Amino acid sequence: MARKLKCARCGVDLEMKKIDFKYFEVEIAKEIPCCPSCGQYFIDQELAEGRMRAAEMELEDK
Amino acid sequence: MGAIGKMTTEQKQIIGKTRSICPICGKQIAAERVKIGEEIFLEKTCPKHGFWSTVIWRGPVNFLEWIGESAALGDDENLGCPYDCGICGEHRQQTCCVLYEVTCRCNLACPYCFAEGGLGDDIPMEQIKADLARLIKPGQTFLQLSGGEPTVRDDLPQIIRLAREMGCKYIQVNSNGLRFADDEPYLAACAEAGLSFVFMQFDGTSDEIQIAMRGEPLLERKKQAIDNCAKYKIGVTLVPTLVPGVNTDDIGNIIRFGSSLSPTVRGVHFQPVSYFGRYPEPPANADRFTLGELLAALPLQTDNGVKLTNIAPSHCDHALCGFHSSFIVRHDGSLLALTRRDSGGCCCGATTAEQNREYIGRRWQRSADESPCPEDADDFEKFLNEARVYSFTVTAMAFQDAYNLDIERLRQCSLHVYDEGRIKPFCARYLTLSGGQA
Ligand SMILES: [Zn+2]
Ligand SMILES: [Zn+2]
Repeated sequence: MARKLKCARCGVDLEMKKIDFKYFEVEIAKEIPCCPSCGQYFIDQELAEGRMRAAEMELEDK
Repeated sequence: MGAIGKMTTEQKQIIGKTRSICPICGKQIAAERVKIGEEIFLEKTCPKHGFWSTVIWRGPVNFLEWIGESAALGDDENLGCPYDCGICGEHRQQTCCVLYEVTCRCNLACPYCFAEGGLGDDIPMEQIKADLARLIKPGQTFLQLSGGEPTVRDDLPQIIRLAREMGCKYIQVNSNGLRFADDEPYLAACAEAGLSFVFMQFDGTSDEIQIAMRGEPLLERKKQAIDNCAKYKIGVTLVPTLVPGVNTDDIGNIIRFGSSLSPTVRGVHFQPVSYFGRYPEPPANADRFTLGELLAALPLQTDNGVKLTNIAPSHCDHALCGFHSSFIVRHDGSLLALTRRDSGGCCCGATTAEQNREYIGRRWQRSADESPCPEDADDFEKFLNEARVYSFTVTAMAFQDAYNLDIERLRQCSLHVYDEGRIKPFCARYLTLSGGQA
């Protein structure tokens, strides 16, 4: 992270936190920025449309 | 088995209607799916040749739930099936894979064999060239080179090269693997010519089973064939023909054997025995192993490594024709399931043949890049890498014969055979009537 991101809702600095993404029987852990106050986490576009989308494709039934 | 006499005294419940053929005269006739106790039968009566009842499902897996909302045959639909086939305008599915026989010769004489092995002359290369030019759609075609045993032809590498040059997307050889075990330069030539993967007949993990099925103790040569394929990065899918009492207790062992050889072995493709070719008398129901029994056996024999919730009925073909299930083989050898069966209520309908072809082709082919992830890769990247390299599928296809043929299934078939200029569904092409008449 080059810049410190702030939560749009709370105005608090985001902190990196390990999140478990669960897809059926598959669990993938990834550190992503979270708001320590409201718990919302932020997935950047590159992750969402890249690796995350590709992982979902593997798990989709065709 | 005195079972048939006993069953008639039990309550019969009609749970579906379709059409089939008379196994003697071949005439299309009405058929019913009938539940008797825990078993489902396909029952039909020919006005001339009488009543036929063939088991199509056994075991605890719910039949109606499994088939879901498949489109029933309309009264005026597919009346010419399978005789007008080629494929007709009423066929409901595109071609997923097309099978092409390059020879009818074989180097084994199996007690259980689909192909009517014979001598006969091989198709000349010029004819093959003309046939392939007709059937290949560049960038799309998934070609299965079959036989007989295709590796009895010394010019198989040239055929593969030809198909590759014509733009075949996937080229699979259906083989017993013996020549690949004994003749490494031949396999090297096939690989170099553009072979994508091998569909290898593999009926069991013991020589006892190999002898019962193929008449010879073939296990060591099968292992050698897989070793050789590993050297040339050719993926292998193991294909057991399941015969009750012969290898139906070996289902879990075959999956364990296959997954222990990941990434060379890409999966296991089960085929419950069907009765093509000449048989002196109709096969008894005890000689059949239904898809329902296979589904029930998978979790039992794999210590729940393959669970029912991981297995999805075929969307490309009919649900009674097969299923698929995709896994990653983890470092400890266990299977991580990627497939989840929709718990009913699916609205998306059938899968296109193209989707199915890519799903299967991508998994049966070894990954071109098997290098491990870089140190700093995140868990998403590691997952994607493993899913590509250590992919393992458990699939099945239940072929139909004259006794259990169901037109509702046949019209949705996506596995096609090139037959003298025409494309026919597999089970229509190999259909033989009781007298041996094709
Ligand atoms: Zn917040
Ligand atoms: Zn008849």
